[in-house]
Amino acid sequence: MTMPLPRLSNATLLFATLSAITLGVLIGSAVIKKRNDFKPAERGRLVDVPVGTTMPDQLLTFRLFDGATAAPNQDGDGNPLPSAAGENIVRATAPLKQDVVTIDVPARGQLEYKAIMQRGASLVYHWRADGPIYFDFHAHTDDNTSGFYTRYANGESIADGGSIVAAYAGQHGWYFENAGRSGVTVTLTVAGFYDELIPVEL
Amino acid sequence: MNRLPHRFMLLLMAPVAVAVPALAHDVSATDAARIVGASGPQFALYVELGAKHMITGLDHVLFLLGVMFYADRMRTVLTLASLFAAGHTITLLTGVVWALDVHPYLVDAIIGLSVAYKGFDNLGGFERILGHRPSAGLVVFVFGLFHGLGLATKIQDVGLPEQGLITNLIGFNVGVELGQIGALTGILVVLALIRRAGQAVRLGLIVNTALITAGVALFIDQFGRFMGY
Repeated sequence: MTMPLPRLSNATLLFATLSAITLGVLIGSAVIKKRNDFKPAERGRLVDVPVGTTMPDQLLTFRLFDGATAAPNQDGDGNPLPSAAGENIVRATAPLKQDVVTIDVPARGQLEYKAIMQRGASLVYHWRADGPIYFDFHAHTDDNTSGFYTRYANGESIADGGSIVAAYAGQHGWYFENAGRSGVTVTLTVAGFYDELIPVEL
Repeated sequence: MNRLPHRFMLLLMAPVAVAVPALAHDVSATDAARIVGASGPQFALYVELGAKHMITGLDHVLFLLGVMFYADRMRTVLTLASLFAAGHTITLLTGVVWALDVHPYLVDAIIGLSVAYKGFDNLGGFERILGHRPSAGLVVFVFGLFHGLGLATKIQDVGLPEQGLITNLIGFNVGVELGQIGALTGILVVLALIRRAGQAVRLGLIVNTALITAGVALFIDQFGRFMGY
């Protein structure tokens, strides 16, 4: 069917095949070794933040109110004036809730928990897993037909935490995927002004 | 050929060797999230996913490169490509519809072997050992079945909503074929350049030896995953 192959000498064929197999085995083994050396806590910018400890400074992305930069907001005598009402607040649109859920993600399994939120609602969360797990923290509207979604964060880790303000009403949730051979248990803590926290069948 | 500089050959294989860790691939996490976010029939999305999977899935591309390496006539190229497409379409569709739960790592290990097989075949290895080459058409069809099984496990891994299953699946397959045409075009250009360079014999030796290396590395990596390493 195809054109005749060039004829190699036995020696060349043997050398090429054996060196290729040897190199292939070495590379394959190196890849396996590299995979096993993986330490989730040392990779990426995600840091394991156990509940109850102080977050390292570099993780804080907001600044506290600083009187020095608020100089224009002074009355004639130099006394500070309040900033405009409603400027630094998002009013709650739902009662304050808190949930702690334990999620068993079987080997090669996937699971998702979603918080149903109104626009402007906020929540804080933290999760911790007993092994490395892939997560994808993302959001989309309830009637998602366009495929549009917002990704907050993703990667492989054993813990993550943070806070969000919903830019639009919909489902804001955590997708977990376990590529390993043994089950991983994730403990997810969520608190905030969301309507409800629900597991999703995948 | 006896005087071929072996060290030079190994040097040329190095870039391929470095690229191997990137070869074993899944449907990317971004796309997984898009599938998670989607519901119902999403023809265009799945066409895109299928095409992307085929083109970024270097194991499929390497296998095609090996299959086409000595296919010098357009008719041969089209026949081989059709047989490969027929093979992976059969297992992709039946695999998902019947929800065949084949271990993806095992399938990927076999796909790795298919790459190494074509490299060895192109070096004339089977001709030397068996006295004749196994039918290229039959081989590409059978390995096509395994590549399709790989596609089926991948698409099931990221979760395929029951709603709009057939539409999405056909979309994915259409994308895979489009991706294959794209990859094939690139491969044929490269092969034409190789033939024009007048170094076909030497480059054939280098490329096909590198295919064995890549295939074995893929096999070891994926079989290692299967064994739990």
